[in-house]
Amino acid sequence: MSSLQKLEVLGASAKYDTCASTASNRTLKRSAGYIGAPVASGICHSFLPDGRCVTLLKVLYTNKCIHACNYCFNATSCATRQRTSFEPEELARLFMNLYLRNYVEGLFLSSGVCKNAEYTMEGMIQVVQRLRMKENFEGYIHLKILPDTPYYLIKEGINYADRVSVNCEAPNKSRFQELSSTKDYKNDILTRIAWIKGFKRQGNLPAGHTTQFVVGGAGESDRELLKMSVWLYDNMLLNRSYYSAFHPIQNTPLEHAPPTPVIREHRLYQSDWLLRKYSFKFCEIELAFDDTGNIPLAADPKLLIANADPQRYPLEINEASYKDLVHVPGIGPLSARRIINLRKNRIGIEEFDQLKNIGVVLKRARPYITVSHKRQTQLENFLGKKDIEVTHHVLHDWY
Amino acid sequence: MSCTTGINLNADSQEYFLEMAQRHRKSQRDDLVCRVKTVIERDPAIIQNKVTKVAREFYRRGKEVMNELYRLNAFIRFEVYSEYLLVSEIRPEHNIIDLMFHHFWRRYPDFIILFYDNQYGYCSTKRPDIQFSSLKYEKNYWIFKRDQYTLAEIRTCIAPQLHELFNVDSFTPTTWERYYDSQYIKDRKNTKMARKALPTKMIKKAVSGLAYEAKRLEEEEKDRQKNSLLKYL
Repeated sequence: MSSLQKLEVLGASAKYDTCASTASNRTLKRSAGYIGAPVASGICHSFLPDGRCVTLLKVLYTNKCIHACNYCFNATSCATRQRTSFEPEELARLFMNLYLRNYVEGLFLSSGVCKNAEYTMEGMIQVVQRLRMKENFEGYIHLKILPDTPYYLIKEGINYADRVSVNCEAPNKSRFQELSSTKDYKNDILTRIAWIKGFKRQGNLPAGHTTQFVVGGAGESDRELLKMSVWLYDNMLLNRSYYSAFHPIQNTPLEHAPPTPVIREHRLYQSDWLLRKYSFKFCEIELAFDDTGNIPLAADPKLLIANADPQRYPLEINEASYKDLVHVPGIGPLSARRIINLRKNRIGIEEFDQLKNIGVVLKRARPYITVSHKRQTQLENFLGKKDIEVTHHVLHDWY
Repeated sequence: MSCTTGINLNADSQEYFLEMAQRHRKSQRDDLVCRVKTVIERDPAIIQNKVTKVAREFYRRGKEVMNELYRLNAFIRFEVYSEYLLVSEIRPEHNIIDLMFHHFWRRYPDFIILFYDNQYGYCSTKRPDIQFSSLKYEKNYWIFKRDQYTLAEIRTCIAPQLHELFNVDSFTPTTWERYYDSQYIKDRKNTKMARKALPTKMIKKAVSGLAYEAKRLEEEEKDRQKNSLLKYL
């Protein structure tokens, strides 16, 4: 098989892996004699017709796999799939050619488990080692750690990577068993994450570590998924969780299972964002769950949380604390910081329109706030003078 | 962002916005930035507050320039030549070429970067051993008219100054095209979102950089329209 065919096959095998960030705070130690540089904010080099961005060269080292995961594109049971592997040198050259032409921002290297985790991981490490040592590549590398990888190989991989990740796939042991019968959740996954936490504490991972869940593959609820994410953030120093909506793949045991709607993935990301960036507590997120432990697909979780606690509102925008402001739908951390900064400079908000200029989404925020103790209960408060004239005109014509 | 653009300022600061707004196409013709500077000297909060029309226009211009810089840095593609030369064709709307050089210097410190726009060629490198004595030097690059020197002449000018040539692997855009297609999940098709991220204006600015993406996007959009029409039959 030619390199191009391998790229096509192993690229397609990695398309369900999620990785959006390429930001790394690593500082460059050399001034010349290298190619590539880490950047503090991610760069998207292209976009697919499905709307996802292409940032990294996302490929598998091999799609040969000994595991039989019920949902997986590369599972042993998929007999029809073409099986192949990259040679470390071949992949390194292919990547450098794309990087030099500015097609990609870095490498995302994952793999199926060929023979055993140790054997495959050694091959993957050879690729990243070659990139760093021979090709003098200084850009971003995301290395997937395979389940059951030995400690010494994780340590070696971390020397070359900006970010590593172990896929949890499911929120707990019982759900995991429904997805895969050949892996052990506690030993193969959680123990490896705990080891990575140790390396992160020592300051060896500039872009930290992440994990990924298959949403809806084992019938788990949003509550279970978010609870596990919170546990990982608090106890394993995880940078972020990725959620991938389950999609049935032909020739797998779950090929006839119903697909998970993509909107569910979106709601999970919204809730996860509230936990990580808006400093919400899990008990607050729980207000958004329905009786089945899922977030209703039709509503924004922040809106549901605000509606579940009506005594808290309306908030006076010129008096509310930062923490209270970020709880208001339509106000994010940036807008809240701007409001606080203006207050520090003794500039008060007097009109609703001022909030719009700051970046507040008034459409959502209006019912929950007062500006100078004024609430928009009258038509004049909702609409500008011009709009009122137009409205009266329209109503006049109507009747 | 500040470190990759070479401007040693915090990307959220007013100074950074001033620098960016100054580079806007319209700022070459009017005195908006000068007016903003005077106001900032008296009371920076007036601009920060964004309540006046001028302040809003100032931030809008700054953002537009930042956006163009960020996207062009991401969307352009280079052709690689054995003289450590990376060549790309671009059509920026604002005055950002020197900032783009900062971004690519950091990424390819051993290479010479050459951008072409409609009329001019802009050439720059961090290598101290490369000089173009016959070209005019401006800001941080050499500038020449497109019809003045051909690419072959530029290459001939560089070659004697190098100790060794760069080993260029054979590469065709097909490699990228096949990889790009392999990543597409058809069941998640969302051309509206893709079009938002890849606006036609940007595709034109990156010249040939996004040619394949534009073609695929168009095909998928046609396919979507066809399918939505079939529903009514």
